[in-house]
Amino acid sequence: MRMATKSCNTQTFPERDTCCEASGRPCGRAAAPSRPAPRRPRITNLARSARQAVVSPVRSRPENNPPQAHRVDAATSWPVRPCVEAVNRLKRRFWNCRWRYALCLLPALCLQGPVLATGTGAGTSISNTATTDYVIAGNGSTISSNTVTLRVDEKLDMNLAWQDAGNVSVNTPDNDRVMSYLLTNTGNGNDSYTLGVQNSLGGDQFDPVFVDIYLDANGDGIFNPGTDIPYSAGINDPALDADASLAIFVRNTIPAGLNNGDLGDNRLTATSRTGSGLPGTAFANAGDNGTTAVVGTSGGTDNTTGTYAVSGTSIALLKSVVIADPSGGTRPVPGATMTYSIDASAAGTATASGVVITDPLPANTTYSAGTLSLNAAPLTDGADADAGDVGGTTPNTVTVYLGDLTPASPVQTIAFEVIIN
Amino acid sequence: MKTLISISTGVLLAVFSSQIMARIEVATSAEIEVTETNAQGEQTVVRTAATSVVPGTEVIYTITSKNTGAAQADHIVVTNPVPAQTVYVEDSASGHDAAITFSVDGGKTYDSAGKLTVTDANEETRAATAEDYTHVRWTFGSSLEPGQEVPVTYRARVK
Repeated sequence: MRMATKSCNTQTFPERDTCCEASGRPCGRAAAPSRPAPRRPRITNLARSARQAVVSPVRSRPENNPPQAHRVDAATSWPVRPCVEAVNRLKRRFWNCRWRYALCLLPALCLQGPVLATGTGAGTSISNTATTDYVIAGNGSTISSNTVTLRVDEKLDMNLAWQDAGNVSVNTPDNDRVMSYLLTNTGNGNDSYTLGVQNSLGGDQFDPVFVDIYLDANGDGIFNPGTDIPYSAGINDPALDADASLAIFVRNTIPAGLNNGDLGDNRLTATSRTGSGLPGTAFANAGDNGTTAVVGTSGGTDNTTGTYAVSGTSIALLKSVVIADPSGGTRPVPGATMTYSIDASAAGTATASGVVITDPLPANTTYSAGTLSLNAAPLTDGADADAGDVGGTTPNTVTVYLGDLTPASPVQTIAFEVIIN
Repeated sequence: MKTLISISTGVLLAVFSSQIMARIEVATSAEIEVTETNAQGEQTVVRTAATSVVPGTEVIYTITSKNTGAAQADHIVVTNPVPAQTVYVEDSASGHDAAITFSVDGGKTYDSAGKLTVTDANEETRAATAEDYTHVRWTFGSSLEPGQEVPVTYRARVK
């Protein structure tokens, strides 16, 4: 069973964003856990959860055992972070990226985010000549003025923005939690930047422990371990053309012993290597094309803060199966009916948003039409107005939308029957 | 730096004596405003001649027409294309006793602000905005007497 969802499991997926991004669907690991090949056809219903380790296949019990629910500890618990917005945002960003590349044939259109159009490039000359028409003694004439030429200097400006849709959910302790930022050169020339992280900040409950910074190597705005490049100050300080953007990922470790709901701030700072200081500060010959570099309104540096939140919400799934064979026994033989139940409940202090339970039908079985139910109320098999479907959303898969769950929500019980082929 | 250009032709010389030879000079200057802080910490905005700018800078262009001749000059019209890479700053044009009009079609036609329209790529016509202006024109309401000089001015923001 996969607890997927429009929730990002930031605990289990360091590459959370990748999953959201790649699938454009609810997060969760798409592939089934790898297992040794069964020696013979076996009825299994792999509980595909983000946390796979605790999942075991359902097997038939010895005949002398009384029929009873076989419990599959489908998943213990893991923090869930609402990320509908994040998914949408990433999808948008994905398409923005695509567009960005497509349109990069036209440099002036290479925009991303809230950035204004590229300012006039450093080194450009702006010339102005006026004319005066006049009439003297009936004779008209036109005369031109001198030409005033201004040189456009390089303005040093940048913007840093935290990209996560909301507080990044973490456990306590937790390792290498990714915080995503976007650095944009809002000046009018090429500039490079020194990056720094500060975690000892006031107003929060804990200090994340800085691990490393990664630079987005493939331009997808998503942290890709093994693809993106570790940052070393002074070694590979990122350089950006005017109006260009770069995603920057900061990884931190979360200390042990924190309380649910505790917040920890992570601040990223980018500073122009060309120069910074009070707006208007000029650095002769430091700009592009031999121009003067002038510090813009940003002061040549910017910082922004992202927040980790120790998540107080987890979803527990409890799966069981009852087998009834044609002879009145409990043997998993062809023709036997297997009735699965999945109990879902939330624990903790927060709300798990948009919870979706998906459960691929076991191999070598056939779904018994019309047996899907939620809390004992029948659901139609089609993907329609009710909360669930079989095969409609995903082929050969039970999908039930549970919506938002809180610890106060009653246990949600999904049931359906399959017949062994 | 002023460039003097003498408008004088053989015909004019033949007809008029040198005393009434027409001579109009026109000079353009560019300035920017800079905030200066004095020893008392007081801030004042001063204008200074501009040689370089950055995107966002407002440039104050001043065009001064001077009659250096001995005859009255009439029908004075000063025209200035809004420089490339800049946009006209709304309501910034001024000039003593001059009617100010703008062009949005590269100087073919002029009209006062508020009467101009532009047609966009979708063939829809809308009111023109300051960003659409391609030229600024000052049409003087009075003559330029010998020795008189009249400045007109406007602001353009560097894109």
